[in-house]
Amino acid sequence: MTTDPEPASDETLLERTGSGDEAAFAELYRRLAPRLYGYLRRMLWAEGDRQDVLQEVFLQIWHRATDYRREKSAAFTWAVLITRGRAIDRMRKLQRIERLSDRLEHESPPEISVPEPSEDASYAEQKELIRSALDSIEPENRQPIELAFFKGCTQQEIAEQLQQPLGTIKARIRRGLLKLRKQLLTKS
Amino acid sequence: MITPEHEEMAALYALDLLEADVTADFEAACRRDPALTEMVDELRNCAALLAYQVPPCAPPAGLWERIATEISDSKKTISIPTPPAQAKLVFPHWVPWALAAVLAICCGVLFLERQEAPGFPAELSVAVLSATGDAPTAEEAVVVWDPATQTGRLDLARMPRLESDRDYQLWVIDPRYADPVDGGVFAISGDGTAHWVFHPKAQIAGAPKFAISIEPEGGSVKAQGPIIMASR
Repeated sequence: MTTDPEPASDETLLERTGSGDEAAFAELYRRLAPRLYGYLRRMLWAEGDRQDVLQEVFLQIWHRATDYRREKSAAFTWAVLITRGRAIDRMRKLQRIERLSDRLEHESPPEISVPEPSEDASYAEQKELIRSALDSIEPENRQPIELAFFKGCTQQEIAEQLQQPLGTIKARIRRGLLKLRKQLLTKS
Repeated sequence: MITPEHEEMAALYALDLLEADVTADFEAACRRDPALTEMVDELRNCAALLAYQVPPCAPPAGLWERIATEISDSKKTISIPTPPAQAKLVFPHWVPWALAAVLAICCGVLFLERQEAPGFPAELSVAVLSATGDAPTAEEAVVVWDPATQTGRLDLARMPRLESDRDYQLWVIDPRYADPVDGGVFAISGDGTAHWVFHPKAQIAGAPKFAISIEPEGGSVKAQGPIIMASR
């Protein structure tokens, strides 16, 4: 009896994409696009902007996959950083920082196909790891990090939203992010 | 030794929160201190992992097709055609360098022109035209196309001069139109070169293909003469 070969990791798919493997790129899109699109829904208010940015992100992935180094970061992390950079560029270009308001929570996201069990397990494991690391960070230190990461807020906007002095916000971000790094290093 | 001040700046930098006026100094500090660079990379990767907390959401139908089409178009336009076997050309060693220089100049010119135009930058595409038959032509011609400004630049060398009642005419091939779009008639200088900026007669979408034909003096509304060069 033979077993199915182990599915290629995201890292392997990204490296194959760098070699011009279109099938690997398509599979990478299938795996990463729903997660990156979910992230863009938090960052950008306008649906058109989200779609444009996601398209830009995958074109950049296609053209710059040769720059990827697996020893530096996971493929998903690399893609998230590209996505975040593009989303922030879009916000600044449009001169509007419109974020999702509470009404987003009332929207029902469209159904997606269920990922392969092995992929799902891998992402679930990562998600649990991050959740656990985040839980260990004090809420006052975690909150400004989440405002920056998910809503693209500036220091000033975070300070205003949390009604804290700028210096306090900076110190909290430092403490929170350093602790997150320590927790992740310990847990992994 | 990483100071608490640098730690704070690293954390802010990792989240794109560092103020513009201190970013340059901090980046310089990173270049001097590999440990600081490593810390920034680690913090940035940690922050990116927060995205695991977001529920996945299916992108709109059709987005993948748009991405695949754009990649496919860019590949077609940038691919360099293989010369026919029976007419294999041997280029002098300086030709690739000359071609690279021409491309660089073209891109530079279009880039500078772009600075004066409002709107978002778009991708330039580069098409290489090669001979389609046995007629004597330039060894290669290059078109740099800017879809944002609907402007192209054609550069070629060693193009034979035509009789006085004939002209070379450039055509832009956009699949949305039944016929090639007129890109205009261009002149060949005494040394057989042409460096010509053109604006097609109709709006062009995506990364088009290009062709050159020989037409009656002054050009034709529709291509009539033989197509002597084309991109693939």
